[in-house]
Amino acid sequence: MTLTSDVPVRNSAGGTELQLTVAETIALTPTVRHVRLVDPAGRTLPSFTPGSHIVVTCGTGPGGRPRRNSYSLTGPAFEPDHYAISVRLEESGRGGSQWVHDLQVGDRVPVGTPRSAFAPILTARHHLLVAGGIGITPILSHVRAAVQWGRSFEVHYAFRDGDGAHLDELHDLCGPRLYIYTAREVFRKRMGQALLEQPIGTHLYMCGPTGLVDDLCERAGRAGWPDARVHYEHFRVGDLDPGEPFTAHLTRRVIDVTVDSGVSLLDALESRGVAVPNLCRQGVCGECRLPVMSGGIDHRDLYLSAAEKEAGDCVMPCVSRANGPRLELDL
Amino acid sequence: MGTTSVPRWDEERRIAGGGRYVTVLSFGDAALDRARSLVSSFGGRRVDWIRLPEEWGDTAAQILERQASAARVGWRLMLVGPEATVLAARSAAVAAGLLDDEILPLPVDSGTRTVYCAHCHSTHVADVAVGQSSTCPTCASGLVVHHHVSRLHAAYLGFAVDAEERP
Repeated sequence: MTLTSDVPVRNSAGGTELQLTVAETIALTPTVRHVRLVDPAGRTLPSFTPGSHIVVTCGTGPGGRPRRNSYSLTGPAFEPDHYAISVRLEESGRGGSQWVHDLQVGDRVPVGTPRSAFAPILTARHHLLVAGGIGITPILSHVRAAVQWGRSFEVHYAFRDGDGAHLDELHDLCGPRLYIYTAREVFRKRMGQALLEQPIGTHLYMCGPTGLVDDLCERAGRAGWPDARVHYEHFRVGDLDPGEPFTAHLTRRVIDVTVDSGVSLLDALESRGVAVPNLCRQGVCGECRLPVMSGGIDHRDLYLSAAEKEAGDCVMPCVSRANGPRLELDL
Repeated sequence: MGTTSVPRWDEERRIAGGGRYVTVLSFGDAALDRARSLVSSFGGRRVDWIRLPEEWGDTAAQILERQASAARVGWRLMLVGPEATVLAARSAAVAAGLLDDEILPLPVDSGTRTVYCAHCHSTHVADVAVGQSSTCPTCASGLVVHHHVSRLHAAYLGFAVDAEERP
């Protein structure tokens, strides 16, 4: 998965920076490059929970600000001697994936310590793992842990023909527990069946494009899956509508901040010198949540629950906006 | 009692919507009316109703285990009976892989409680209120029934009445 962030992560829980070195790069498919990062002194790296990601500083973007993307770790999790990421080239992206694709052995790469937002449920009786495209990366790390600990699991992996990253490794790890799909309709049909026949105690994990995740969530709900059994990680949030301009009033500082169309509330606050802890800047991680005193909110994030959005007392300023002329923030 | 672990059943009468099929377990005769009206409330969904003895025991445990091992995700379990039995059944269901969201506990009025002895680790069923005392039939300790309920043991904590005064 890929999330992006422009601002240093030092405020955040997992924000300690590591300086790693590229040990190896492998072209897995025409569009996916695998990069293995090691400590220059050969030290063991911090262990992580399966499904964790690291924030990689991918050079600098427009305006000279560091460009930060999150990539799921695909390698072994316990006292690893390397961190491995697999990155799909996004031609229309902001250049972070191109930067990773251009890395050479020996290059230095600053990364944050691993952050866990997609962990396996240890009480699960069975793990139903579903990946679409490059969404296989956190799923691969789940598979590794499931094999290591003898957990019951199966993997459903849908990808464009010829573009299935990590297929050989998955075959070795999963054997007959791996189901692969290159035709969308076959995948949809088989998943519809799979959702009906899982033993009680199964948890569903999925990572893939928003369309795939939303579709499966909806169908799992119709098949009677409680939300607590369904876990997902989105990637590639589509470009959002620039939105109408509005004024954010900060009640503690007693200042008004103008938010123009096409500028996020988070960007507007930062350019007025108001620091807001943040990480993904795409409405996914939940880091930048701000309390709202009054004013209607156009929630566009993937983080808050429906009930939290309904309550209208907090906002994710990286993507969400006012749906009126004015929003009052408890800042 | 507001901050104790004693079940506030009105707040726990919640279950995830949209289950595909339902099993109702009723425990004892006093639960029959409630179970019957519950069963008739699921228009269109497949409902099984199994009548079991009032007290939790090996038979009930085996039946629940069989039901759970055959169940698919989408199943909901409803438990109607005395609180002591409902707690025990819920604990067994969670051990079998169910989530709280998939279980609806519906206790019917009953004065009996399962009491866990903190001294010999055995449990017994007694007609006793929270704050009153009951004698442990295994180790003969006089126990005060504390307002703490273990969901795992499905029991109220009991400890020696004079535990705080002993030298």
